[in-house]
Amino acid sequence: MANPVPSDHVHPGTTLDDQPVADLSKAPLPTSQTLRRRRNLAYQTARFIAFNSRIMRMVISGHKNSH
Amino acid sequence: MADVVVLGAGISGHTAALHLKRMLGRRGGHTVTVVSPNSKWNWIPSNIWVGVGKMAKQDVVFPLAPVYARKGIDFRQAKAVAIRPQGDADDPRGAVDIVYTSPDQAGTEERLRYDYLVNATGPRLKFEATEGLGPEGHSLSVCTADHATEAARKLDETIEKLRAGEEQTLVVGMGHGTCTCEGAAFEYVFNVDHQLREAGVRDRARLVYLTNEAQLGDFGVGGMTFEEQGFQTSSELWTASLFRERGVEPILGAHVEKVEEGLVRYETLDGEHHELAFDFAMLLPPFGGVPLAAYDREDHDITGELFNPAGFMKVDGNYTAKPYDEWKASDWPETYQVPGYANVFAVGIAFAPPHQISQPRKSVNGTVIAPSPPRTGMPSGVMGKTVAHTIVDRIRHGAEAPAHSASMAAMGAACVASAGAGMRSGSAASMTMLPVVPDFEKYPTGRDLSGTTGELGLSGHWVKLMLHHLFLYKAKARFGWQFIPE
Repeated sequence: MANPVPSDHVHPGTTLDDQPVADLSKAPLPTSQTLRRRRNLAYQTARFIAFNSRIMRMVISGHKNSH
Repeated sequence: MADVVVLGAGISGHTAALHLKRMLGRRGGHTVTVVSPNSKWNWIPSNIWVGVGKMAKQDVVFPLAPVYARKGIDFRQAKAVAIRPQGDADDPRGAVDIVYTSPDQAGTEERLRYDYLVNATGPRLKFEATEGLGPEGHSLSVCTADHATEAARKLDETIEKLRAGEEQTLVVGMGHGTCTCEGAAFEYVFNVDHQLREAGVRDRARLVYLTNEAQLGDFGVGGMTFEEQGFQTSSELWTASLFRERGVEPILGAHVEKVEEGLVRYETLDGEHHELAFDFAMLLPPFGGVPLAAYDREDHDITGELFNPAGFMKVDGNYTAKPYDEWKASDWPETYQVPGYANVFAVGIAFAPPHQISQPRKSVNGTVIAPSPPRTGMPSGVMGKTVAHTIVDRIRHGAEAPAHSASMAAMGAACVASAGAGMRSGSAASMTMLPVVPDFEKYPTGRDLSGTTGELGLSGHWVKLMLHHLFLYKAKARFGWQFIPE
């Protein structure tokens, strides 16, 4: 997979011209550490377990609420 | 002995049918009949991967008939055209009029009698709502596996032009101001961006996200509040960050008026009309209810009593017209039982939502630009299972047995936008929300912050792959399927 586009990269032909494109210039960009963490296998394994635990909690509480 | 008829074999209808048969068993003479115009089941969330060529159609569909034959479920490949909840002059039992769609019986009509009916007919894809929208017009779709296959073919052509040095504009989003399923368009734009990068042509492509959402991250549920490192942040900021990082250009609050060859015309909330030239456009259609007529015993038309004008079936929700600010989580249905008929239910997209979750807006010209509430995926399956429990209780203990409940104002949902293939090369944006319909009387932000999250990373890709295989396994009713939650 290619790396993400650098922070303020504007593609050739990607001018805002006459389209009402929303201004994203104030949106935060990830740090290099965050980008590394998104692909770190150990960290992502922990997130995988956390995400599934959250879904299971929702399923269990949802089923508990259904009566 | 009871006869149960399920209309539709999507996530909610198929789930309801499998659980009904599992609980009723083969003894006792009870029958479960599924009526669906389609011969195949489709795991629709993975159509996104078909739409970028990462999966083939056969990876996301399978024939229903063998599964139903194995489980003892009667399957009619047919479409329902009318419901007769009071029966007819010959029989007071409820009935459904169906017309076969299978090649060997196409056009044959039949009246099926039922003791219990589940309407899970899913969406009607209303491409006609916008002139030129859809595969029959000038844009693409990923709503069906065939649509997605065609989208992948066109995306390949676009990538080839980019490789040849041409600049291309790709538009992904919503084809009408009242569309729902913004999450699917979000997933698709995420995947298209990934494909363009993988092909090494992202720098020559302009990628536009054209949506009816007034704010990024609305997703038709009014957005979400996340808790992150001790602060509350919004799905709007989260999505904006994702789009800025990936160079996706969002156009918000847009109602697509017309799609022409290579050109989309749209109106924005400020009333301005715009034209956007494109080389590739995947625009989702608005959904309507599958058209069903309803008749009383004397053959009088009672369609307006059972269905709202959009064709969705009215259930136990509070449909009183009132301002957006006065709507409450408790207005949402809990049992999906049709008023006046203790043996008729509507689940999944077929039930009429009592109100929009996202704040409805109009442009200064009066054009409605308002995302409709999503009610697909996880909630659909839970609703299907819930009405199956109610029906089984009523068959066993009598019609007075209380209905089970599963309100969207109590249940959660997950949305995972995953791109790429393989365990190490994928990427994903994963969201969970609890509950789907915000409850501001219970939670200050409308939702439980411990169950409402957004994160980016490889793990979401693993989750999506796992869900793909688990839900296909479950839908095929293989050993232990009932232990896989909805």
